[in-house]
Amino acid sequence: MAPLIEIDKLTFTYGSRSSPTIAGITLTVDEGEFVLITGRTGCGKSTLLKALNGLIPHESGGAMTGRVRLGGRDTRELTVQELSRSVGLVFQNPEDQIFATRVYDEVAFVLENAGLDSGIIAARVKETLRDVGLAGKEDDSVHTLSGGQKQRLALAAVLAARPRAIVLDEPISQVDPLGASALLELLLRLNREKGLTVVIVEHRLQEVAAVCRRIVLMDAGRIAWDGAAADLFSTPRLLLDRGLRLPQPVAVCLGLGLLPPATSIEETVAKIRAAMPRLKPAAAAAPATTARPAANEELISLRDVYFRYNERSADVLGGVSLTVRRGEVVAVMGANGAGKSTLLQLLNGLLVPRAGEVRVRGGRPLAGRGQVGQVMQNPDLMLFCPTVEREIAFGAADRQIVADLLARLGLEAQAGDFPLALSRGQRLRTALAAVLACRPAVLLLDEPTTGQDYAHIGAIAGLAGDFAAAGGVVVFCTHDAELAAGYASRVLVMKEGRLLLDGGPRQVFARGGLLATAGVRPPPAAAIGEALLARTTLSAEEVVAGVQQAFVGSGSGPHACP
Amino acid sequence: MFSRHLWEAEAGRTLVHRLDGRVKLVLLAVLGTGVILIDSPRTLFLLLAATLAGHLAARTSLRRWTLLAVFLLVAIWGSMVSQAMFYNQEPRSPLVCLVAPAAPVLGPLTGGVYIYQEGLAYGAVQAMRSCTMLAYGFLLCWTTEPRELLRGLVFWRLPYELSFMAVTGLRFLPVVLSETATVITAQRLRGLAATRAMSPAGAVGTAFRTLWPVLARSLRRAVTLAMSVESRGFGSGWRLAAMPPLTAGGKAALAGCLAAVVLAGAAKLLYVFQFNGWAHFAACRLVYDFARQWL
Repeated sequence: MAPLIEIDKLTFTYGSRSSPTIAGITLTVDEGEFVLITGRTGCGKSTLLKALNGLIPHESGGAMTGRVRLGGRDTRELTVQELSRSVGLVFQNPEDQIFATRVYDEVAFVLENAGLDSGIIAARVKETLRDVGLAGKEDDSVHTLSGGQKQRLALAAVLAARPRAIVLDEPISQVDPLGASALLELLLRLNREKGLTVVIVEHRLQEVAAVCRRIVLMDAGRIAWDGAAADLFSTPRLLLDRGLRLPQPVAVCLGLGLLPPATSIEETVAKIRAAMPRLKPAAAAAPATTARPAANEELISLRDVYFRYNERSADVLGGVSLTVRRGEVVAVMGANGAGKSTLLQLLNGLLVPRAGEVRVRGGRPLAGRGQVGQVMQNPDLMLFCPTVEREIAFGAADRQIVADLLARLGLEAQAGDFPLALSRGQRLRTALAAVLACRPAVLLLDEPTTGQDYAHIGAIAGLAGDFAAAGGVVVFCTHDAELAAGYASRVLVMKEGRLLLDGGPRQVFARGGLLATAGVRPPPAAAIGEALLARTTLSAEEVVAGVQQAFVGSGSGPHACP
Repeated sequence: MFSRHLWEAEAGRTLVHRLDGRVKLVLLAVLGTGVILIDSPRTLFLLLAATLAGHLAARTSLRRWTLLAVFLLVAIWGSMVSQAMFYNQEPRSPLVCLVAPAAPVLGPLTGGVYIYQEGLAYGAVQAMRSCTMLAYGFLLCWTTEPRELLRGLVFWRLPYELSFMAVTGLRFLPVVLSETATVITAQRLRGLAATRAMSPAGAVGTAFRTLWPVLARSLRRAVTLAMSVESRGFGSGWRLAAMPPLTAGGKAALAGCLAAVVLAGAAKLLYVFQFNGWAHFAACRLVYDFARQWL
């Protein structure tokens, strides 16, 4: 294949910074490749993408050295308008890039800008919408689309120009697992069937790894690794040292010494079975439950709660009953629209049930009284003080707790900074600290890990776990099954406003069929455990231990004693 | 109020929805010129009524009518009350005395505060002007795609940067309102008591606390949106070839607008010349009568 994108010693420094965000990158992407660029937050991934379609240097104030060639032509010699016909750029949040309010208009925008006739535009829009699975939605309002559909619309809005390459900046970070896998499958299909070159920036490796063949790992503006996905996963320290999460199938293979590691559940199971043909699932004993023993005191109680947003609409919650006791960390899962956020708003007192009763510490929850603290999905909207320190001190129980939280969350160096000017991870930690400083009895987190890399997820989950261990209750909404399996003592699965499942993670993730009806996917380790050990496992380590135990019991496998 | 759906353009198949965005923009300019030039209350009333009839034709929803009514009533009330109280032309006839000149403190300070009949009438005329533009502005935004507005503005030779800024403002105003509501909710959850805003200092502090997060989010979104449309080929090299030609109906509407503006302008000019004694043409007596009554 001929190279489509050639980057030669590219260095770029933003006008507001003294050090370069990209430092001497040399990279070639062939026509028809599917490349994943990954790395920790702030390593320069998104900046590199902007250089691919000419936004750098044409539209970004800064200094660029080196050269970017697209199809042999230097991007400096082409305008962004010309480059838009060769490289399409899709951003992280579809809400921020969708410009029109009607599906047709959004897709037609790029074609109108290219000066095409209305007949050609209509045909192209129809074809593109069919390609992305939105056929028949031409006249729909963009607001009627789900998060996953909006992201596909954003993709269609650039695909309509029939670019040779498409570059995507964390396209699945804002969508639920079903929306994410649908988008990735679509990209893979376009890559295979239409020969579209795909360059995707993402740190959710566990979801993207299975579809890409080549991975570029970035660190501090440089390329730390560039090669086949399987080779990178064979040296996991490269990823772990950069705060990236290993896909569970990869971690399982590595734990069992099976190289090169597989990236999908099916491949992993097949690889293990091939290596250990006489593996006996029955030989493996189920590990002791990891669920946190709940103390007796009941902090939250919902009895037969019904809620609807107005009299004419249907119930968003229909007959939810549950109790949560001190020390519990509860993950609430379910597809978008299942009622998760409504449940949180009933717990924090912003909403009042139409029927039934909500009690927090025995009384009706009252918003802003300190008994319930909530970190919203977008922490930016919670920060309103001029410095991080004052943000945390606002409503804090005492001064000491402010200093403790600054230290605990690694924000001491930013104590005097304007919170809204911090990085996304720092902003989330500041919001969390500000809520915890008020010492609530119940901590609510709405999608706390959206757009965060694994290192930040660990810090947040650790802090939430400590809060629960100290006698609080943590309730968090999430689509991340690995997070729920790893950190929650209890998982609630909601479907259409009702509680479908309620139990420990092992108990809940064992119900794969029922989970699928609620749009929830168990962690890959659970599926691997089911296939190999006939029981639900929650982590890669547990699968490895279970397989090794079963393997020893069976006396088979590559390392079996003769 | 804070629901974004209440503010955004809605797809529809009515005549108003189907009217070309370029024509709607011309109508906006014509109306803007008209309400400035016209002094006749009955014509201003007719213009307002026509604009509201446009909402009926566009089948504006009840929730939007309610929102529009709130805005119109506030505009009417503000204009009429302020003009009624501060009307300083003669003659003026007091209807109600709010503060007597002999009242302690305020009386000597203000010389008395009255509601003047002529002020009310003048305020009503001003209110009809602002309400007409307000109602038409809502009609334009609720029935026209932002993209179509953008194309229309560029078609009429407004610099693309200005066009983009204007339309982006309209497009994201509902989002900003929705996020403002979220910020207020977040503040409530963090215990920022509404009572703190009762004092002037508290109100300023609360306003800034609300402004910062909304502004920061808006800036981030604006940067992303700008990059997104630039990378989709929109920019200074924007080509107009993709603009479909105006339909016959659109052309007729434009011709009608142009004719109405030229005729009304000429009639008003003749009347002003005659009224000030600068020029009088006996043959134009009918025009003078028309202008006095309707313009």
